[in-house]
Amino acid sequence: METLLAFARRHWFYSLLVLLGFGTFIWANLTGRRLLGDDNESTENINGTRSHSGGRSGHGVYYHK
Amino acid sequence: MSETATLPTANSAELECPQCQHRITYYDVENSTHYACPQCHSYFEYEDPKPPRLLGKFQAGPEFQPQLIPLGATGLMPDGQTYRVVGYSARAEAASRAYHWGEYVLFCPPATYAQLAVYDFHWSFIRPTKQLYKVQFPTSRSAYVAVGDQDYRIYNKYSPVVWYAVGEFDYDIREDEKLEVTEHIDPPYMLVEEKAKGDAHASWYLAEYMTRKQVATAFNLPAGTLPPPNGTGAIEPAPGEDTWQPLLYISFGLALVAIVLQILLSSVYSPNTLLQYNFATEQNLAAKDVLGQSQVLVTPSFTVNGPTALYFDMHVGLDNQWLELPVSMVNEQTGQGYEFTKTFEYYHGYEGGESWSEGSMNADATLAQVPAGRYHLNLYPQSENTTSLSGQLSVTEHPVLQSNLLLLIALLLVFPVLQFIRRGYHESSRWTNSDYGPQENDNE
Repeated sequence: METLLAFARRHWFYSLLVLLGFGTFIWANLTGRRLLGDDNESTENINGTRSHSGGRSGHGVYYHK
Repeated sequence: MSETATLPTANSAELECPQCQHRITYYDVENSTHYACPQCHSYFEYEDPKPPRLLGKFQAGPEFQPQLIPLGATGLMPDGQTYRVVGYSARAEAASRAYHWGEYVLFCPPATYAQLAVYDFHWSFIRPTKQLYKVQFPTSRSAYVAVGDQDYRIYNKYSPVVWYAVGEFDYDIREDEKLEVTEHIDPPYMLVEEKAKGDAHASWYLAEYMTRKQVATAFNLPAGTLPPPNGTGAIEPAPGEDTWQPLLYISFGLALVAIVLQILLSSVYSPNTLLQYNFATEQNLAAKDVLGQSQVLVTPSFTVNGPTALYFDMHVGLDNQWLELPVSMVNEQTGQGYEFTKTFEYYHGYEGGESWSEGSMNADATLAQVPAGRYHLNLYPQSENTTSLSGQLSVTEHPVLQSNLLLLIALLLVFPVLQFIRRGYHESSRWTNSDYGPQENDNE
């Protein structure tokens, strides 16, 4: 433990990064957040004023052998 | 030649330079035999009771390799002994005077000697060792000295030339020019083999790297006296050398902790399937002008125990065609909507005697931070023709968000990877100064 504390003091920035990383990880998992973002494409607000907008990207030219 | 006057004290004596009569203090009264005058740079021999004998002058002046620690300075060195600087010599390799360094003669009464060498402002403390070492493959470029588990790899081989000296010496330092010196390194240590040309007997020295801060502290030198080192020293420890192993263990341990934490969190909120929906597309008769536009499919309602991420797993049976599937998830209480679109395409065939296929009939999606509530999905399938396509869709709450774990592990690895790169660069830079480095092997 003493070695660990000495290491943490020596590399305080890494220790801080580790604490922040673990904190964010636990918070994200408990609140159902995906840190790299999700697939939601909706731009509507909480009042739900917009339903399916037909905003599909549309299928372009598909390669067909 | 003037009469030499000695003024013995408890630890020192004085003599006069036979050339300029400058009074020189010397400390190893018993053993010192050769002296270099700091005033006129004459080199002479003096052994009481014989009169001093002038031997000449060295080729260069003090500017050749400036002396940074004054004669007479005392310092506590890494071996725990206090030494006094009694002599200094500036040397260079016989092959090229461009490779020059300084050597401080350190004396600890009654008769212990050591050296402090400085090359490109990299310092090393050198002590003689009585141990004899065996060089493996001594004639090859891969020569090394094995000491326990450590291998000291050959780094340099040269003969020194003394260009300048000042202070006292217990031998004629010009004799050093007859030596062939071989350096073997295992940073922060170096084994130095000194052998007279044509002589089988070798003397060994053990050198240890010292930072300029250590040297300044040892000799109580004011800050800024010693310039910062140039480049990478032969036995300069790599960045983070003392914490490299702990860093590896700790990073590995933290990565394991992250995995265990992920498992624990998954057990607190275990994945739960909310919806299993099978569907078949059907041409929207109201949209005859849009070929492949299917009727909207509405799933049964399901309850989300949020906030949570939702994982959508989808499969559509395709045969040489594509399907675009916009999905809209609606909160039935608040009207809040989520949308995503996935495109499926799967083609296969037989060509040139080989079967081929491309694309996939599967897709997945994740929606994050979905609040608790009752939801349903609207699907708006569109394909390239009116063929009915069947598919399955499942919705799971509290899925394992592997990307969060991977992101955390990547974060934990940033510092070790950075250190690894720095250490690799340091090692590569160290060997560029050697004729025996891996780069030299590559050039052969």
